[in-house]
Amino acid sequence: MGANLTQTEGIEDLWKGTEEDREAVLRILRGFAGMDPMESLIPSLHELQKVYRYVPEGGARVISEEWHIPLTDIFGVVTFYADFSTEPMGRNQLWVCEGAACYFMGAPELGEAAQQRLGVGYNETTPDGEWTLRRADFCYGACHLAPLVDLNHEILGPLSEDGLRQIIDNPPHHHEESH
Amino acid sequence: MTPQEWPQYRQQALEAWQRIEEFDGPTIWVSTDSGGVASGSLRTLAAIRRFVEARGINAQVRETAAFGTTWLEPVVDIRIPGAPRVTYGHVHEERVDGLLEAVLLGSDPRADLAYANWSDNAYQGIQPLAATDWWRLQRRVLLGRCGTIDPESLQEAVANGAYDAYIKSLLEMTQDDVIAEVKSANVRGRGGAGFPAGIKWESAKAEKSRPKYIIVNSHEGEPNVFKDRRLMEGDPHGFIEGLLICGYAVGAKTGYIYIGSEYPLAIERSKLAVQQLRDAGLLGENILGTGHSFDVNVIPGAGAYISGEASAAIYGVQGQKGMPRTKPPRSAEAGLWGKPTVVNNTETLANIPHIIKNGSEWYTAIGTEKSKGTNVFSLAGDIVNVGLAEIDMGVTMQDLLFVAGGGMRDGGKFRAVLAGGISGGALPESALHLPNEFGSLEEEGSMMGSGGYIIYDEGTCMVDLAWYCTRFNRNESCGKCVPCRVGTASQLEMLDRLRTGAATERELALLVQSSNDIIAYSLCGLGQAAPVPILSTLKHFKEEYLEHTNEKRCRAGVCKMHSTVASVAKEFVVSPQRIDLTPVAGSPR
Repeated sequence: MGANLTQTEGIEDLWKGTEEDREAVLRILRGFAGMDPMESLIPSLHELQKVYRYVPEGGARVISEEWHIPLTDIFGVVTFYADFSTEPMGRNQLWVCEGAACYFMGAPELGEAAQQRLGVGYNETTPDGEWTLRRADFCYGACHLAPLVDLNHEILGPLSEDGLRQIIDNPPHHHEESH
Repeated sequence: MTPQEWPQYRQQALEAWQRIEEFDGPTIWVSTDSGGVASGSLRTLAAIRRFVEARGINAQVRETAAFGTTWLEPVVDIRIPGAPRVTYGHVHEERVDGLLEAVLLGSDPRADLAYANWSDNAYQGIQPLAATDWWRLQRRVLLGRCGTIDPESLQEAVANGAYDAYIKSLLEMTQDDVIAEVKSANVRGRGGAGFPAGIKWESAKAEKSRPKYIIVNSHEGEPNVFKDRRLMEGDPHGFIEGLLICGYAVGAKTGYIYIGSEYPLAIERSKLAVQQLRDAGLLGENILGTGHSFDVNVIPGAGAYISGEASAAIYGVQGQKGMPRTKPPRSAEAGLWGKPTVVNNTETLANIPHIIKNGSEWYTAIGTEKSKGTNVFSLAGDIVNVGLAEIDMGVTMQDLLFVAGGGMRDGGKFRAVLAGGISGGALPESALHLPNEFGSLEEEGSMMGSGGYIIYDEGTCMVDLAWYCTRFNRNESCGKCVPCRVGTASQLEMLDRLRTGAATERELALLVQSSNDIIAYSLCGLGQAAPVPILSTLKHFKEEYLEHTNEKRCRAGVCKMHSTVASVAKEFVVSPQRIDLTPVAGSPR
């Protein structure tokens, strides 16, 4: 079940509650025209979070009003599933895989190194809003690269603690053509 | 599409495929599924394209998915006219130029870098695939097209047999014929529970209520199980054909593919495959003029292991919290939106087209008495061949791990295999003679489950393994029922004390007792399976637990045996008084 992310003071909140924000949400919802609103809820929350790096209450309110889904049901879903955050997340999202191969091949040590380097714990965001550190209890299906991390949807492994520190100090910015 | 147009479409697909097969220059395949991409195969692909362009080589460069050799990623295959296809492993971008220079321009197949060739005989010092330990036990049915076709092409799938069975069902078979075939094939649920698919279909078909739904449970959340991922990424039309056949047999109008959000490529390729089918007229209203209408939606999950449980998957599709419910009613009676619903696993459905095409007799001749057909096994951990192997049901653990799996990595010594993933149990060396099929590992306290095996060497502490699995289950417990929510948390506390040297043998007794209670009273499979890793490690590796309790020693050197009872209690906010170690009155065991 989802662990809620810790709030960090001072992180930029991309949701300003403006008319443009409302329009951005409506644009997402229009993409689900003709579909069942409940069946579209989780996909729409994914899209909302992609834009704002979390699920803003204001955005959830727009969904609630437009699709007549009680706000409490929406937040039930948001807090149940690990993918969604009710707090703004950092620009870089670093997931340390603790699948059943990675854990036994050095993932806890990687996690320790990441926490020390970033100065935050799991589910926390650095005060400059650069990094959010998370632990992946699922599996990336790339066990041949254990232990690995997922940095902004790019899998990097097998990693040593030093290797991970270097990645944190110099995040790779080559954005390859991704699927 | 009309029934008359299908043979035409198929013919065109075959001709296009023939052009690919008979291409008069070199063919190069690069595996760009998620496992390949993680290893850098997109950079390899780019380097290959640069090379052939710069040298002006008339080559066809094809993207495909892995055919199971995940440990060799990035995998590149090369076939030059007149020679067999050769598989090369670990072709990182910096190795591309050297390899292509030799193979394409220097007529040197670089046997030193090759894994195997795809002919029946050795080729210039490169062993045939059939001679490799990884391949020789395999029978490729479900993975047949993986690694060969472009997974994003409907045409290539059709040229290699896709949708023949669907067309055959629609045009030549009644709904009951299809169900009878699936029932006599006795295909059992590959999500882990092993429930016969035909029985689900039959009960859903018998229901009077309309509409009916099919859900493909592609929410494969088990850590280190990646067979559904590879099936979806490598051959999406394989399992989708099974879904379409199921929709016809049951009389459903809508199907859903529910995929975990950590599978972005599988989601993307499933959506693309569905759109291709709509465009081709194999999905939609009045398909092939038969009067049958069917459409498919792809719904992503949102990061919850429990969403793989059938009733939780239904709630997930409904946009709700994935909390399992009590049964009955079964989902075949009241599933999605309260309507009759078949929930089948991806791999289960991938079996269906082969059964319809070849007949249930062909299918039941493969496998064992209890479990028919092949099974796609995911192998991970301290083993050489981390990847997939599709082998007949009933293969022994020894053959699976030490032949197909290639044995222990880095000269390690086998300690345990966690069979069936987190919801399975750990097995020792003495269980390696057991066959892998539904129901065969249970007496040793484990199960085949969804066919995911994680192999551990002697550097792994069995108490730590139990702790890890319990932490996972505690985190992923949906919280609905008390035995699971509170039980897994209190077991984790006990295992924490074991790991830090603060436990005594009384904890071991309490672990067994609480395990039995959690299994007996939990609502769903998660809770019922949560204590299995504890019970199985206690059964097979009790001496390791006793070393932790009595000698304060961890033979694997993993557990830091430094804590006193007080410090552990403080760390986990449990006061020693709270832990009542006397047996609870009225306990069922």
